[in-house]
Amino acid sequence: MNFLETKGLSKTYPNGVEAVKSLDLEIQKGQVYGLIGPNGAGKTTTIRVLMGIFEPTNGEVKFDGKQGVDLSRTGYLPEGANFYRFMRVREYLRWSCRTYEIPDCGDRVEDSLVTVELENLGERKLDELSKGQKQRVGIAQALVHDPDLLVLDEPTSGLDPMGKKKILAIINGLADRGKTILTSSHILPELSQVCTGVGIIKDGELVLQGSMSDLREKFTTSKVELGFESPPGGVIDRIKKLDFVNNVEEVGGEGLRYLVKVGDNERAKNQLPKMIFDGDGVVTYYDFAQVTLEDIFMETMDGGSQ
Amino acid sequence: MKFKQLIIKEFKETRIQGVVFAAVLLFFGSTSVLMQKFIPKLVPENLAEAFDPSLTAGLADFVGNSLQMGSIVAILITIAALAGERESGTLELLLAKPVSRVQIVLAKYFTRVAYVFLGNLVAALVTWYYALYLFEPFPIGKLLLTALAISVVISFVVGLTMIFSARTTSKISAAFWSGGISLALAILPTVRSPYDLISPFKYGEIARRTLLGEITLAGYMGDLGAIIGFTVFCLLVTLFVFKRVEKIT
Repeated sequence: MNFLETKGLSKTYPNGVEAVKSLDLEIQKGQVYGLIGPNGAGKTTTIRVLMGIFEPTNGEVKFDGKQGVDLSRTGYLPEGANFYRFMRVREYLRWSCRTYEIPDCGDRVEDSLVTVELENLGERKLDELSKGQKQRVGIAQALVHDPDLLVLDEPTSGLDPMGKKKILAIINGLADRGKTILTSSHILPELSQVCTGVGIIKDGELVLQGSMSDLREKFTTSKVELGFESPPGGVIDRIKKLDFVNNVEEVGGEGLRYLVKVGDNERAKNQLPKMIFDGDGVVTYYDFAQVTLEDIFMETMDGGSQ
Repeated sequence: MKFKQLIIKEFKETRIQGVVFAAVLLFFGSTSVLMQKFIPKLVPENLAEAFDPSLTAGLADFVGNSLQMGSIVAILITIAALAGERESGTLELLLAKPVSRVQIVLAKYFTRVAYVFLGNLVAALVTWYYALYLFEPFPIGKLLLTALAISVVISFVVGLTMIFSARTTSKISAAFWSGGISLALAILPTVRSPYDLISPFKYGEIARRTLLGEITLAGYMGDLGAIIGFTVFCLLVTLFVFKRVEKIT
């Protein structure tokens, strides 16, 4: 059974814009699910509908088998979240915890501060924090009531590399603790570091969904990048004829660099190197890499989904 | 408990506004009697003859000033109630908490109304003291009852302003609309029937006449019901607008 799922979820704004069209999300318990898509694809609207901030136009949301997301079991960090400037960090977390009707919030506040490494800034006023620190307070307030589901909308947006690294480490740590996490982003290398499941959304429609491992299998399994000192002659034609090779692209237009997409890792590893290195051209570059989330995304966006 | 947390947050957020509100009421309300007594001494002698200081005139000024200044400041402390949350980007997080929109609206309303009642009661007590000290003893119960009546009228203004605070992201726009409509409603009682019957501000005139001993509040319970009804209507409209308007930032 899915922990969180939507069936035919749609959202049309009063101005007629169809932001989300018949979305069927399936998120398993303990999964880190990345909702990815370009800007304006409908990620934030989807999340706002899930969180009950917007009413859906059609469709339903099921959370742990029941209708609608249970907000008392969900933690939420909106994109670019702002907090009450008149409160201090610890005071805000305590207040946030108490809105979930938890009588003794002291330990929970301290635990969440430790999780986001802000235990030394508990008495700092919220408007005195840097953007990265604020984002971590946002995660702490989403965690403070120990929710089963965490919804993080663009959690690394606008952060410097160190800030991003910290947030991703926190998400990984939460995943290790068994939390189900729904996160959105259009920055794919970051998501690929944390996600075990992915949904790709384009123009409000879910165009692809699955676990990372399933998607890697479903799409080009891996890619080989090749570089030659001079045009390699017939070897490229021979590679193209191999039945486990999906596609060979020339890169750069000089006939010296190629990208080979293969559908069977093992056979590619066994047969390709010999064919390439025994060919006519002098090989200057050879890299065998697994398909990335970015590859899957680009293939899907180009209409190349299978 | 959730509602209590919302109320606590509102009091923390608006405590400075609350103090300013009370100070304004205190200044413009309770100094009415004071000014009545001392204006003849502050103006040139030839003009002083035109003034005939009396407690009755001072008390009438107390009601008028409290209503006018109280309404203006009530609008100013209420426009940010929901529009401010939108403007500062805190509304989305608040809506994602397990609290209902009804609780959010009521917490914001009752916090501001608490300032209204508290400010008016303090102003009434100080007015009573000035009356006693500068003129003659005056029944304290009558003044407190009048302060409650004034508070009921200003609570309506708070409810009215909540509608526009829920509707817009701009505090200026909310102030413009609620100020304009309040002014129009305040002018209505000065117009002959049938409009004077439907103005919530009519209750302000009832408060003034009660204080001056011309009538008793007990005879105007229907008007009290009407203004409370107007206020409840404003809150229902606020809820409707708040649920419908999907601008959250």
